[in-house]
Amino acid sequence: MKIGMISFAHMHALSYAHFLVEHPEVEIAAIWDEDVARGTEMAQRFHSDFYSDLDAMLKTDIQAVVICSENAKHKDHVFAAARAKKHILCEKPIATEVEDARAMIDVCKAEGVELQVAYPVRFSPVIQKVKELIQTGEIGEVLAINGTNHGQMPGGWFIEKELSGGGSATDHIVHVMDLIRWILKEEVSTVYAELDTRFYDIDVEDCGIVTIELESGTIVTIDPSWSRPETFPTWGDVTLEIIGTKGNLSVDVFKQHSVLYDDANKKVQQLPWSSNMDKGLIDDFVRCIKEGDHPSITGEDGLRTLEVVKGAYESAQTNQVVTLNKVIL
Amino acid sequence: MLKVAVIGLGKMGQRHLENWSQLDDIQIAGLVGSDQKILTSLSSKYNTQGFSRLEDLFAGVEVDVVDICLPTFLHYQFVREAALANKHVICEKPIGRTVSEAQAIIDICQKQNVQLYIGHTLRFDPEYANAHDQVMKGVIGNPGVVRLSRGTATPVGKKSWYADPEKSGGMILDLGIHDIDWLLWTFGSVQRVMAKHIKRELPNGKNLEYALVTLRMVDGTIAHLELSWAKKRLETSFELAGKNGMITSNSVDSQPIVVIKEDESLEPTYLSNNLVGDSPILRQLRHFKDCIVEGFSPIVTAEDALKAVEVAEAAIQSAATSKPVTIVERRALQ
Repeated sequence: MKIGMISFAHMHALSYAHFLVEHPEVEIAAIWDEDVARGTEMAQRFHSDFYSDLDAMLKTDIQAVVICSENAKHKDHVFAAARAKKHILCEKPIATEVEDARAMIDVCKAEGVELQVAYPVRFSPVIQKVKELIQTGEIGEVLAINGTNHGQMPGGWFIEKELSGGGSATDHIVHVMDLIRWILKEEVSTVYAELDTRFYDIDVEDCGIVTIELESGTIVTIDPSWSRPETFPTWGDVTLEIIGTKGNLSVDVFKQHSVLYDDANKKVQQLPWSSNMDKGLIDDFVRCIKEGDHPSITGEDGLRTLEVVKGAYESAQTNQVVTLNKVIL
Repeated sequence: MLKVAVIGLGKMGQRHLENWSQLDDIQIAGLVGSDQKILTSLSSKYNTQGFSRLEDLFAGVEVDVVDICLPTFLHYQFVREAALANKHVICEKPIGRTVSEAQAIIDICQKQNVQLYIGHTLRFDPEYANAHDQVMKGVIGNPGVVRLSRGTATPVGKKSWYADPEKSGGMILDLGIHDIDWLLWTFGSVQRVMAKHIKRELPNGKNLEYALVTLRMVDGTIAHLELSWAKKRLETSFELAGKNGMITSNSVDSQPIVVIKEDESLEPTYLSNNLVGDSPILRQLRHFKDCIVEGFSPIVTAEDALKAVEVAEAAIQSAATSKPVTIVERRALQ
């Protein structure tokens, strides 16, 4: 199966490319990147052809594309790929505006291509076990979730609003939100958020706490802050404290690691040893295309989580609770 | 010799007694309790006199200070009685069940010119006191997002007054008051509060309570507080992230001695009694003694204690109305 990569702007592209190359039935046949130097380098690294013209790449016989461009460019790239009848794996967040996300879903439907949004945490064996425990009623009815997706400040285009759509709220609410929607099979009712720029002198928010109520009344907070110091032993975390009527689950998705005290680099580092979730995402995408199956993560999953992000921004501006007006698909 | 009487002989009163007995220049002048059996056995253990009523204590023995370890809803009544008898008062946290009760407690003590100290033990807990000092020293720089968590088992049996919000103020006040006071002490006043609260009676009769509280401090710091009556034992943690760094601590990971016995199952614990070295309660009571005897200025004032109740009340209001509550606006309405 021939797959094309659209941009390596998002660092996850490296990991996705790695697992595409590792997949026995896949070949990265083409790479396009706005940044010619980066694209050329990646083409060499993954033994692929570099295209400086996206249309030219989309005219080749690739079956699918993986889009890891800057958030604000997802829409154009999804449109271009869909119209060229390529199936799509798009990095999260799906878009920077809800209307864009809706248009992207529509165009993929109209062109008959699959649109999968990259929520790799669903493929973490830890999270799959959590889902099973909850869905088999191990902790009873879920009443509350205290979630975090912390990170270090990524810099680059992530802190340029025109390209990213926003800072840490845009970057880090969606992963935890997606897990909650996926595991509990419910939607968000209201959103409240305190967002601020308190850690870095940057033009986007770098921290906050989001308070959510689900339609069932389940209460949730998500901490999406880029609050991990430079000396933190890893990039960040995904944690969930889940309170049920029959018990609690304390989940630390990246807990499976050893610790390296590295004198050579004067750093303490976590060395993860659990299986890589990006592999699960890539394998699932490839399998869907091969078998003509619908992806397990849809454009709607991307859109619903983006609606929560937008609700958080509105709330942070007004200091009021926002009731989500969900787009009807 | 400071003559102390301990009022209320439940778990907290007993713990206080144990700690008073370890301090020099303290005389346990008397005890007041409602359970005659406990009263008799503790009186004999601490070689002191037991009374079933406060007025009998004052009539029977000489007392300088009363240490009130009663359920929250009884604080006002007993502080008032002690103050009217011109005794200094040490009272368990929260100072009162409501802000107005807390204010009345402060007022009566002021009017009677007796000293009033509230047992915000967290300020004397080395783990939290040290973190406070580090933040004040600027170790984490300008604070950004701070996360605190406190969980314990649902109070059952004799502790059932905790579960009755009329008596304890509920979990947010009773459990949250610790961290709220510490946050106010460390980061200053609160501007806005948003809280979500779950309360569910379980088939086994226990009350499950859980709350997620976000405090926006006046200095801009965002504080997240998790409160749980859904644990098996006391578990606390904090993570203080600022511009220059982050301090983290977790009670589960900071036990220097772990005892595992072949024949014991894990029993719920309610108090942080497993610190090695002087307990926070011992440090607190020694400090209050020094304030009364030596004139030290208190690490925690009654006004501080009132402000913590105010923030807890705002959180309870926020959870009840599903809306953020601004402290200044709330004050204006009251």
